[in-house]
Amino acid sequence: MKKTTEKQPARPVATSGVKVQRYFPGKAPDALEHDLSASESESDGGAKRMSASGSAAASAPQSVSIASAKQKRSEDGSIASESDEGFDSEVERVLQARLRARRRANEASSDSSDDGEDGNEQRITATQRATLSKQTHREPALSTSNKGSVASDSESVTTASSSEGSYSDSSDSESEHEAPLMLKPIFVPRSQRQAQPDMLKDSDNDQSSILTPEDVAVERERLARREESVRMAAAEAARAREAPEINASNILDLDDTDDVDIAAEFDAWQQRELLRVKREKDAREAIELEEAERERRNNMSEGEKYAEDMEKVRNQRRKRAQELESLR
Amino acid sequence: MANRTVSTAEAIHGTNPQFLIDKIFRQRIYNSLYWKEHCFGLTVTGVMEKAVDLQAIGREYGESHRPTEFACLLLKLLQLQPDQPMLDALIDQEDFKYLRALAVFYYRLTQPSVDIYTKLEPLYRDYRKLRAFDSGSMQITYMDQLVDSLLTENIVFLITLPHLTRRMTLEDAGEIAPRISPLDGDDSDSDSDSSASE
Repeated sequence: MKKTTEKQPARPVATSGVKVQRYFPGKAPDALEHDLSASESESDGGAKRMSASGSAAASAPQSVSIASAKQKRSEDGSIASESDEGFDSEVERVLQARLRARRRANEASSDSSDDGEDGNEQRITATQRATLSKQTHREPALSTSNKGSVASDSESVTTASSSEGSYSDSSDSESEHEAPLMLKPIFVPRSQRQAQPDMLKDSDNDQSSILTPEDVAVERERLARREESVRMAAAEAARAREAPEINASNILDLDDTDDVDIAAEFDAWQQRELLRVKREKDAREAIELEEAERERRNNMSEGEKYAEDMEKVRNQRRKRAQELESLR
Repeated sequence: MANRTVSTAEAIHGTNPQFLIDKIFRQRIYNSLYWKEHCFGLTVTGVMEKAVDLQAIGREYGESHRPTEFACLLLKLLQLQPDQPMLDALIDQEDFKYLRALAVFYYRLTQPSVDIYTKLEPLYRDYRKLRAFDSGSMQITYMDQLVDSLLTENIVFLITLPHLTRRMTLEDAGEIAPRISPLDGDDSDSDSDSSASE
């Protein structure tokens, strides 16, 4: 059983009277509706302030940036304080800023001519038309019936184009003053999407059968790799046959008996020993050379050292240049 | 229990002598079948007897990188820390080359630099063949080759050898005489003094 309580009249609280922007899917961006209704009052209030800076704004119409809009807004203080619901408020702010800029331009133009009012109305109706067209066609776009969907698809496409056209109209007329209004993305089901790859694919069927040079190269490379692997496998097999690998099982296959051929073994040993002796001798000589060099440099003066280093570097460079020349 | 260094052992190069072999390889040795089966509760004498049956030197063999018996016995020696006379005897004996190789390796791991040079350089004369596992495959190497690598290289059989002072430094310090090669020094003695292998 539900308790039915009488709805009490609202007690005055700090937050009462605040218009809360609630989001639900499918809602049109607030700013447009908002502006459409309250534009007059705003422009009146804003115009006076703007006229002071109007000349500056008119002179630099291009630079209607969000920063300047934000600054104005802070001056206004009317909107910014209340709504801070993230994306929606951002959109709202941007759109309002743009509309305000537009209005300012109108003011400036209206000072010079009388067409300001009419222009204003035209613009309003253009935007109104855009939003209305969007809203009306969103439902049909989401319907699942084929005919309806097809029709609506074409409709949405046409409306998109038409709205774009209207936008372009508006933007043409005042391209200097503001960027075109952005369309809210409408979800199009997969069945109704025009898949982009269709457009990219070539219409003629012969394309797939023609082998490009890249294809040929790829094929050739693949064949080459296959051959290489076959060759390697063959080499492995041959090696295994000739010199079977010694592991724990056939450790004794590798013969380590000594004194099979004493002379040969002795010679081999002698060779090894000679190499070792030579190695030691070379190491000792290298160290002695290093020592001598160090001694010599120690006894030279700074100037002599410098001269010698320069000479060395010069020789090196000359040699390298010669090498490069010979290579070329 | 079975893997602890003997309690009477001294620290070698500042650590537990078993730590001279890196942890990973050490663990693999502990887990190997040969260690568990044959090296349990072994004494130095026991190690000697096992080493006599060695057929190869090296670190590991096969696809699965199983530790060799040589490596197991080496670790066992490190664990037991044979005393000096015993060790000298093992090196001086010439009957069993693989046992000699084992003792030589142990010597290089544990003894001070001067002793290493003094003791191992005479082994340059020994040109007997040894089977050695090296990176999976097995090759023939020689005792003098083994000694040379132990004296000049930092890593042998993937075991990092403790620092060995360079011979030249020791010569300059006067602790060792410069090496006299068996070729130059005593030509009369240059015939091989190796005996037939087992």
